[in-house]
Amino acid sequence: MLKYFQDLFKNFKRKRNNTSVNLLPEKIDVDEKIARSIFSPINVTKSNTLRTNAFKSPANIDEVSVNRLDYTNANFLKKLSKKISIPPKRNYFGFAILFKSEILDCGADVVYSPIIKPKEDANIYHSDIKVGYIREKGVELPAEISYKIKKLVEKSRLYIDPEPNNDLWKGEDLK
Amino acid sequence: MMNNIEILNKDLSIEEVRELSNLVNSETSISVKGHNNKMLSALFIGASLLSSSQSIRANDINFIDVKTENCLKITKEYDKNVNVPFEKYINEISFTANIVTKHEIIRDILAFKSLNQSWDGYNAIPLEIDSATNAIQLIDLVGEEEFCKIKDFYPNPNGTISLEWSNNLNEKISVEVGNNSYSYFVEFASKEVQFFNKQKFNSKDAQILSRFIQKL
Repeated sequence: MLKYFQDLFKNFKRKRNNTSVNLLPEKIDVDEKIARSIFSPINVTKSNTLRTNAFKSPANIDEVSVNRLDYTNANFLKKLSKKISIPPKRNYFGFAILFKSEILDCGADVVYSPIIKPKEDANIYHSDIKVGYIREKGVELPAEISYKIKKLVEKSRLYIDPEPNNDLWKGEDLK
Repeated sequence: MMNNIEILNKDLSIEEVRELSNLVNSETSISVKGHNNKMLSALFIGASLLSSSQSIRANDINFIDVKTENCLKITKEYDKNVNVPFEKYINEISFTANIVTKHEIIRDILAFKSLNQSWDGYNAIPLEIDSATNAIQLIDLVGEEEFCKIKDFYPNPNGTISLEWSNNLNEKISVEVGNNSYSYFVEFASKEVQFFNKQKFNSKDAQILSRFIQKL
């Protein structure tokens, strides 16, 4: 109940503060491409396959940060991803791409959650994948939720950046 | 000229395995005894894969462990190049030869503890000490031999640790270890996925998991 009012207040505050930023349509179409930034070595195995921790939320929230690729481009997302890289422990690696329909097929959802403040961190393409379960610190996921996330990972398409040090995306088209 | 290779049953580094490939040529008779010995299977795979451009003309290939005198004998009735049939064999047994030692597992789990706050760029917390200890405890509860067939293990953003076993049929067991209990799902081909939650760190619960790993 408290969470419901907190979310309601958050949405109200967001709409009130949004006076000059052009946001995207609230509704995410089922055929929209959603991009998750992937980092190595932590999100990928030695054979460069995706691990499920790439799509797991931190503690106390049910939010996996992603971006609406159809409204932006790989270069922008790469710039954003490299901003939060900390080599050598967390190296920008590439992107995992899913359609919203694929996310829904796995029993999860994706909601639009633009970041407006602070201005230097603004990202109007930001959204969150939600699996319907809030993780607690130090508590394992129910096996059914783990399986749901495994399905998400299997459906996603991993695009490894062939030139991570280049400012521009030089890999395949993200589809 | 026939060369005889004796592969001793000891831990070999990848560099040492690479050197074996230099000894293999079309005249080489390989003698390694190691029936169902995972290490020797891996050496066979290592030498074969690294020397995949070599052709082995032989009717019998014996793998003999000179220390234990275990023997793995492979008999092929071919008088032609046997690379192609062996490739399939190598692919089939390569999954069983995934060798990770208990020492390596513990070392890597402890290394995860050094991850900082927000190690994933999205506010992940470091591996919880209780989750790490429980994962290590699970090695002995499940049984080291089964546990060390593990395919992958990694930390999660909320401080738990995931452990995964799988085979070449894409069957999978995925465990997530927390501070007080663990959960897992078992996915075998043509069977419904099974889910187990709030498992305790005791022999009874661990033996069920161990039996599933054996079936993989």
